[in-house]
Amino acid sequence: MSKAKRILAVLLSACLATGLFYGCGDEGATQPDAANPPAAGGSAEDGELPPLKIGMVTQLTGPNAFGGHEYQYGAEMALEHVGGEINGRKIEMVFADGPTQDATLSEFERLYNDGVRVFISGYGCIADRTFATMADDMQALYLSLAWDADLLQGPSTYFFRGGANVDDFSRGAMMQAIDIGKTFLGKDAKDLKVALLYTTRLQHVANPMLETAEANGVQVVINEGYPDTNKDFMPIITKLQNTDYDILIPIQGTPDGTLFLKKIHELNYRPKVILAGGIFYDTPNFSDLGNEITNGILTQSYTNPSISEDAAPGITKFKEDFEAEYGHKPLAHALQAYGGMNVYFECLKKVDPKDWDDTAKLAAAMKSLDFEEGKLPWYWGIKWDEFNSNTRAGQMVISEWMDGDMYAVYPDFLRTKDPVIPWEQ
Amino acid sequence: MLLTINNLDVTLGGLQILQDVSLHVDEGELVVVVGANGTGKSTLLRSISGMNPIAGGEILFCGEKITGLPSSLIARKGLCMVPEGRQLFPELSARDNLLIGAYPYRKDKARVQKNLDFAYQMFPAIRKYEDRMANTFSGGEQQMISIARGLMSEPKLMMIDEMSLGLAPMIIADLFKVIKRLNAQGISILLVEQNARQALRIADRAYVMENGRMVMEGSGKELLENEHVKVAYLGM
Amino acid sequence: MGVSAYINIILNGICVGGMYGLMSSAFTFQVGSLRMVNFTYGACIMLSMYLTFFFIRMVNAPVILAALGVIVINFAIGWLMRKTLLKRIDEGMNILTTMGLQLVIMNLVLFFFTSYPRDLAVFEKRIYFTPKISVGIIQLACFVMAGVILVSFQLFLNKTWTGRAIRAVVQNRDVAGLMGINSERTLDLAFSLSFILIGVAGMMLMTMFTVEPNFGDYITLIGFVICITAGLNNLTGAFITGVLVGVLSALISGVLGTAYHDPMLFGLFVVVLLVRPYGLFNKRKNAVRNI
Repeated sequence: MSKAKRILAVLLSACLATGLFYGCGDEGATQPDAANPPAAGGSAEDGELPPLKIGMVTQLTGPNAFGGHEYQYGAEMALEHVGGEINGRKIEMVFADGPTQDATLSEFERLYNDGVRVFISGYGCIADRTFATMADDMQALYLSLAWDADLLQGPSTYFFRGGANVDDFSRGAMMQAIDIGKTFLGKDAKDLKVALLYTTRLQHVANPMLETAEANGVQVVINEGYPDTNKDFMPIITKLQNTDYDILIPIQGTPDGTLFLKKIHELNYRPKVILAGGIFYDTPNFSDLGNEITNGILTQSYTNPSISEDAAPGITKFKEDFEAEYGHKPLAHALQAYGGMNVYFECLKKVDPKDWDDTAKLAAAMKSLDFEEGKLPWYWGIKWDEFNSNTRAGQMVISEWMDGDMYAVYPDFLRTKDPVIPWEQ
Repeated sequence: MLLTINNLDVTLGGLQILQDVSLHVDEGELVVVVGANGTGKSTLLRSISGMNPIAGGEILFCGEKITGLPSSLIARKGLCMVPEGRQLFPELSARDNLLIGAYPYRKDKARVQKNLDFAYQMFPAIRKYEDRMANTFSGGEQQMISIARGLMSEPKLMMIDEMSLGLAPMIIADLFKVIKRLNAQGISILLVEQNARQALRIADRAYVMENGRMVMEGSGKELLENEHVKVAYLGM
Repeated sequence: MGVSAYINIILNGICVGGMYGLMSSAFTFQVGSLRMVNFTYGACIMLSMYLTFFFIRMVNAPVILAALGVIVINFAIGWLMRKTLLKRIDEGMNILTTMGLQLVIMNLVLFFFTSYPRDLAVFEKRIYFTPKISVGIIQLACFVMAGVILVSFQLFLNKTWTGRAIRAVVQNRDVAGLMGINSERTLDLAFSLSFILIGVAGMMLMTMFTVEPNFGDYITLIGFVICITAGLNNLTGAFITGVLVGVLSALISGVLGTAYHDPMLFGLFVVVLLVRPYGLFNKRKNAVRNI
């Protein structure tokens, strides 16, 4: 038996080794002492204040690396545009790789132990729910860009949710669908038929859409929530082909979305109007499918860099500088990070640089921010409700894919190109 | 001498089953080992054919030492075993069972066919139902198939373990006749049996085994007349 | 939906089901016939899919070479597993070691390929029987191939000497040894051959689906359900049940909706187990039928 035992031992060690490599992160990290937080920054040199560190844990490796990097670039660009300093004190971005939730949490701890007290979300905001419960105890200022409205269950001092709200997102998409029906298909809401197709993983995005549809009398002729493991789309597509509807609204991730789109392309089946609920349909993986598939597809996004030049101050500069520096046009995610950083800059401007290390003062300044829409580069305004949720991040944008690029087509005042609905090949 | 066993000791599960067992089989002989239930007769055959480990002693076949070799190698040397309880391959057809016996020389199609014909000649009842699955045959038929399968390996020595177990008297009588006929064709046979009377009648030589030891040796006729044998094994 | 829509759904369900069937045949052969505990099964199929992706998309090898590569690598994996992990048929130990190996395989794949879903990016043409009824050409080819492979494998087992030897060893290992068959080597061969089936199934699945490192869990689940429903040990039964599951899946999704897919399929599985626990294709008295 000893030979088999030896082999078993080797195997188990290999498992442990790969497991450790993958998720355990920093084993030496101890729970930071909230009562005596170590001093932020380093020691002063020649009377000059040390740079304020702002930390971002984002997905730099793994399946969402493209999004993670967009966040990183957006934040870097924002810092560059203010010359790396506000009111004479330098600011330093600290990035860490968090491809999974566990990695994100452990990297956050590491940064905290290194003295970082100001944080901003990374792409996907995958651990923000945990941070929401930790921020106050750790006295760490956290600006979240997550879209889950229930992230915060009560008032908070240090945690802020500045991003959009999934309910607004979905409601907006359905309202926009109704508008498209009226403008381009000549149908009133009560005559409009939509087909909703989504993975049950994204049920929370579909539900507000369903509610809005019902409230407005829109008929949801197909309400197909498929399990995430579904591999075969033929039955669903056959159903779609045999049902009379006007607008298809898919809410999908990358694996299922890819399979679905490939299949309908192979079948030469083209729904009249496709209005996607963002996510997969905003990503380069989608545009990689080729213009034949992507042309004409509408997708609901957050405000993205393709909105009109005069919609938000600095949006043009952001677009041009980003492309020059990073070699590709920025995605919505880059604008999210860029916008979020600018919110921090507004906050820092309100506090004497000497006092930046007093996180409580920064948090108070954050809370007092008040901006109308259209005043910040990401178009959204800032006004916190009693749970620190942003009440002025409700405006979404519908973009249309044309020849490999996304163009903002709705609403009118953010439009850069007129929509072509339905798309004629 | 075809098969020689010298001072064989076999231990299983901590118990000594065979102690200092010696026997031999010459070419052309029909040798029988009789004894009561549980004396170790089957263990003896299993040890010879390589299915049990051997604690002491040696086994020579055709002058070659085969002690400790794996059963598949021993089988290929021409020492064939027809195991206790028939042990056919249940879900193989009767024909396939026979063919398995020819596995070592399967590439020689003519040889396989020749031996198959010979087997069917000895046991004509099998040919009619050769495609039926082995576990659908009666006990006696299965025993015949088992022996036929053994024949397929062109054995120099065929060892048969308790072939009459659980079978009706008429069938048993037929089987003994077949064994005698096979021996007449030149196949040496080592037969292990509880049914002492019929076994000793066809035997050239015989041994009596008691409690894992050989206690008697002689010709078949001699042992049939022996008083102890008559009392202990012939029910007289 | 009209009749042609249903026919379309059923046809495509048959093709996908053929894949499930092939992969379940291999599963039932390994676990049911050879009685070798193998918890790496799903992971191995997933690995074959990744290897196919690797050869075709990353190395740009011609299809024949890619197929050869996948088959050879799978054969080697099977042989190695048999020589090291599954050397002794000690069920407890084998469960542990194969479970461990499954984790190792998954993490290795995760490390080299990341968790990003991989796709062969192949668009298949369709054959149209009527304007509304069509089958993908690759899917159809895979189905036909799967059937051919299965039939060939059964013929191999029934008519060839090696096949006969494998069946003999499986049914009575000791006596097979008495007949001059090297049982251990025969089992090595059988196990490695079944890995070839895994490789082929993986290649076919890759042409139809996208793969991620935890695809193997899904495969194991479906394979398990199909094998138990068909009755362990029954290769043809597994294939037929696979096709049935493919058709049923498609019909449930098409008629009732995909939300009902999982509960109904597994519900049916439970019903079959209650009514015919030895499997649909096994006769009652041959509850543990041998190949």
